[in-house]
Amino acid sequence: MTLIVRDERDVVEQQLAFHLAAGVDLVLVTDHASSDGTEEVLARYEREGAVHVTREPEGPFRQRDWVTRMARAAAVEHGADWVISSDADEFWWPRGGSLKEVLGSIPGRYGLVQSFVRHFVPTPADGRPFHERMTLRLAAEAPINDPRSPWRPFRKIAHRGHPRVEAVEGSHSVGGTGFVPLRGWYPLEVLHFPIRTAEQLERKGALWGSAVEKFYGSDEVAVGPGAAYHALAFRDSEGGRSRAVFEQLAVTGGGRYLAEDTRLRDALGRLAPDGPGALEFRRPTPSEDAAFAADAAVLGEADLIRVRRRLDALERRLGGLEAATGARLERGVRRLARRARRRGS
Amino acid sequence: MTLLVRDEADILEHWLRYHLARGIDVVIATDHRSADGTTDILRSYQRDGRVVLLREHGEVMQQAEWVTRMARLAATEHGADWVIASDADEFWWPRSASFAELLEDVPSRFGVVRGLMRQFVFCPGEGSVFERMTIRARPSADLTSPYHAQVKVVHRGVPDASVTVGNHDVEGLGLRLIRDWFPFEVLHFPIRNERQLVDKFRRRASSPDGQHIVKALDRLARGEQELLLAETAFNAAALEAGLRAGSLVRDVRLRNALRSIATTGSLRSPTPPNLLDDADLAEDATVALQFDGAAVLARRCAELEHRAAVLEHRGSVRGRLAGRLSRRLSRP
Repeated sequence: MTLIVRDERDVVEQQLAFHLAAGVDLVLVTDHASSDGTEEVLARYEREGAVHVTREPEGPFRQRDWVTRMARAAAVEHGADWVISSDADEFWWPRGGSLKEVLGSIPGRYGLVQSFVRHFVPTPADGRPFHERMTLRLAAEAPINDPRSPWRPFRKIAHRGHPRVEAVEGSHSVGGTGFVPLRGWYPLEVLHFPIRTAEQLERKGALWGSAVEKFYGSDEVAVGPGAAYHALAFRDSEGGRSRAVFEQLAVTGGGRYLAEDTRLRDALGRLAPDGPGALEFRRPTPSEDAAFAADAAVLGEADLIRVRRRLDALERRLGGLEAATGARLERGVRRLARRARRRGS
Repeated sequence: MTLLVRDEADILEHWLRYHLARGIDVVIATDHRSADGTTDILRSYQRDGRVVLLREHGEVMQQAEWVTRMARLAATEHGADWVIASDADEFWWPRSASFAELLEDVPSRFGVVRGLMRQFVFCPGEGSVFERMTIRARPSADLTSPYHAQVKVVHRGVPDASVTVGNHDVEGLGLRLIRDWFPFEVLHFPIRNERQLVDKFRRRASSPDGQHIVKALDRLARGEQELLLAETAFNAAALEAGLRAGSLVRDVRLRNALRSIATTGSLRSPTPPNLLDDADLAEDATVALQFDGAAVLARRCAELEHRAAVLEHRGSVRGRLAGRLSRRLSRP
């Protein structure tokens, strides 16, 4: 597993403990100048041997380069069969069997496997760690396609180890491998906790904003579909609105589009405090499978909407081309007409 | 469940026993000009009320129309909660639990779920089809192959359902599809003996809906029956090689189910699939989903984007050349 962190003290311990108990052999971490205690957690895990940390000084946030570097190192230096490029707020949950067992079951000719990202909504901060209080998961019945929403439906992928793999922004695919994706099956879920406290939301916006402000346009920061949401968080943090935004987002009770999901809380509760035992992942029941399939159906519907948007963009481009062709034709006709007049005179 | 059938006496009895033992309430069957005893088998089940029999005598098979009629009948006359449109060579296998339990779990906002076709290959020989043919192929992405990748649909009973040719899609009020989930497998035995192979395709000459039918008819028209046979049949050596290479998979689930029905008269719930079963299904699903509307659209969109980019590039190159030329010409 690879991981980029910057000041993630409220999740990094849980992140590492969970994945090491879920079947991850080694976590390669790039620490981008953390100073909130994250660096101490990393150092502790590094001493235990299951985490390798590369420290990057204050400066450009070269996400794609770092993920690529780590993913290649995982394959070349550590012989990883599979690589999961994760963020600190993501918990990769295997659907029956450990991560190792699930990935080990993928037929050899397929090199990419999809995971369905499950968004957990923020709840009011009450001093408890995020995983103990954030047990409500979004179960949208239709795709949220507002690019500024943190709740857009999306997939991430895990890939086989490959020495020339290239990271793609958002980790929905990889380049450089020729790997074929296995479709029609989501054997992994990503439990995603993007917004946890007002302070964290503010920090996230500020960090992202400063990275973009300094380096936007110089190709150092990839601006993908998630960027609009980050940009919004940045503006909120600049305008001192993070707390108000958080309070608006925080959910106090259940609701039609929210499902109680205590899996991460229970899993972390089962982990011994002094070391990562092994977690067991039971197979979902047929009913759970049906509910999961219904939730995941929004991904397919979101795909259709994305295709429609691409078609809209294509139509505009064709319009531009037609206009250019029209203008050229018009110039040609005028030229001919001038020539004809000259000859006539 | 609805069934469109013509001359399939070799498997029909098994088909009826299997699906009724699996918990199907009623089979509405349309018998199209059968002359091999199929009609008698259907009549014998009609007597105890499990089969409703419709008969069609016209020359041309009007599949979509007849299947749609049966689907609507199921909803309006028989109060069916769910309707499965099947052919006689398709054995529907619920992946876990029973038909009813699986379908009960589908959230009410969805009205269509899918079955993934599992293609059992033709192994020539004597004796029962299901004792002999226990090996399936990874579905082909080549639509002219009789073993090409396909999905089938199960839908809620609604009075305005319209089933498309081949039972791959259905439209109707509230029939929203769960696209990426295959709670059913459709164990498919399209080719079972040489005679049936030839008849099967000849009969479709007036309604050749499908590239595999067009190709087979073309072979037959050229007198290439041997070639058609060679392309679809697997002998012992081919089976062994395929099993080794992973392009063929041994699958005795239906054989065992039919044995159980024959000896005990009943059928146990299917064994819930494990991780490897899921991976095996996903491998076939990946091929089928290449032909899915959304995937086809995305691919065509990408092709058009590429062509637009080429045109834009040419346009800008031409523009630069023209600019350079006109500057040069305007020099004194």
